[in-house]
Amino acid sequence: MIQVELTLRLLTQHQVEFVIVGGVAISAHGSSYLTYDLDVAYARTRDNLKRLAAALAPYHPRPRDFPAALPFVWDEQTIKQGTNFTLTTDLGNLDLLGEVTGLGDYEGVRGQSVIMNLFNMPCRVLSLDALIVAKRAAGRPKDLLVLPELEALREIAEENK
Amino acid sequence: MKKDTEAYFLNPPPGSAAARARDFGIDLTLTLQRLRLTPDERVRQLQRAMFEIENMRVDHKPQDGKADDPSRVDLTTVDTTSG
Repeated sequence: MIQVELTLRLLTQHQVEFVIVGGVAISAHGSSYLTYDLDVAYARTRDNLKRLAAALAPYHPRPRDFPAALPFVWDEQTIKQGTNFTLTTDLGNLDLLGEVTGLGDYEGVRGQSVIMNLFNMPCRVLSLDALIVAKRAAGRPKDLLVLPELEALREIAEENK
Repeated sequence: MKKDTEAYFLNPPPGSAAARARDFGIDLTLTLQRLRLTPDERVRQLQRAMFEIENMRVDHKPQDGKADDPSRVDLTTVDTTSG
């Protein structure tokens, strides 16, 4: 389970550039889908990697699939050498995505995001259209399960414009 | 919330995405409940649900230290100790 508010506040206070994607984004748009982690796309500029490394370091991020005995260093260099990370942290499970299947890199993701006020913070959240594209592109059974509801949400949103 | 949004989810028009979602098995009354909230309220509600489920998981963790197995969860505990 992820502490969503604390994590978003942490990233915001450190001026990390990010876009909420995945289950929390789906929920923010009105889906009744339940998720237990937070997925964010992040900018891979040098400065943002530094800010991201600094923001999460006190919370001991570590890849969820790493053996407990395997050393792991969380820093700018580590983030630079990877792209997507599935992490466990003291705040819960957090996935960092340098690229989102179907949408591309951060600039592509950011260009299809909207700003929502979450926990009294302006947060970038992937748009409904982009969530649908990403879920279709990912194509796993769990991704396809949420598509009917997302498409209904999009249809009524279009009619209400 | 606009009246047509309520109608859309409660009585999905034939051929609509909502009708397909309903036929897929999505409970659109839950979706409608969520849409009555602001995005902030939705995510706060999601966070509360996460906490509550985690609390239930911890409360019902088997005492023998074995891995969690939903089929082994016993929600009724009987204290047989005396005095």
